Amino acid sequence: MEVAKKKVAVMACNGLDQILGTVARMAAYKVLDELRTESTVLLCPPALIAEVEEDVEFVRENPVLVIEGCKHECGRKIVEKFDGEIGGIVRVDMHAEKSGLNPESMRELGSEGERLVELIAETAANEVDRIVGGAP
Amino acid sequence: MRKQRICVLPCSGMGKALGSVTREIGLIIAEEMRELDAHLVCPSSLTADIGDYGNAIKRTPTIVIDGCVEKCATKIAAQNGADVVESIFLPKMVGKYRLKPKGRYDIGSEGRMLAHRVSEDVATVIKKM
Repeated sequence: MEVAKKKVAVMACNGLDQILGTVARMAAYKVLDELRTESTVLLCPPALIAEVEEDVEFVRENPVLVIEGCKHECGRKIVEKFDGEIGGIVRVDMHAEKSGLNPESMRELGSEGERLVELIAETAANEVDRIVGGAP
Repeated sequence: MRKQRICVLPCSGMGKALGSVTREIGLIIAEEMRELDAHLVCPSSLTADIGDYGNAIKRTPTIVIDGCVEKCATKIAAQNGADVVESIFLPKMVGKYRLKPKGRYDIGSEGRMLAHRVSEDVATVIKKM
C-alpha cells in the first residue's frame, strides 16, 4: 500500500497594515507555485478564519509553516485557534533587518522588495524540507 | 483613536486572483483616496486581536469586498459584529467591467484596472453616506 507523503500547509500572515505582510504573501506564492509545488498546500488566511472546510482540514491534517511579517505573529495565532500544529515560523522582519533589504510600498515592492521575497521564499522552502524530513 | 467614517474589509484571499484584486482595492482606498477617511481592516490582525480593528469594526459602518463564493469577508464581518452597509462581490464586477485579472501573484494590467474601477464604486458609496 502506498503511504501518502506528508505535506506542509503554508500560511502567510497576509497583513494588510504593513509592507512586510505583502512580502510574506508573495513569498508564500513562490514556495507554492515554484519552489516546493509537490510538498506544500496553500492556506488562505481569510478562508481559515471564515472556517471554510478545505482550509480547516489543511490545518488539522498537516504541519503548518507560517510566514510572518512581524513580531505580532498573527498567522501563528490564527493557526493555533484551529488547533493546528506549527511546524516552523519564518519572520520577514528579522530577515529584512539582517539583509538590509527594504521594500518600496505595499503595492509595488520594488527591486529590494523582490529580492527580499526571493530570500524569504528560499528560507521557507528549506523549512518545508526540514518539516517533511528530507531533501526536496 | 480617532473614529473614522467607514471600515473597508476586503477578504484579501490568497487562493484566487480575485482575492488579490480585493487586496489591491483596499490598498487603493487607503493610499490614494485618503479623503474618504476609510479604515482599512486587516482580517488577520482583526482575528489575532492586534491593533484597534475589533473596536473599529463594531462601532463603524463597514463595506465588505469578497473575491469568491465563499464570501469570507462577509463571514468575518459577521463573526466580529460588524454593521455591513454594502457588500461588493468581485466576480460580478468582472462581468460588469469585462476585466479579468491575470493571476494571484500578479493581477496584471486588467486586474489593476478592475481594482481602480471598483475602488471608484466604493468611493461613490462612501460619498453618498
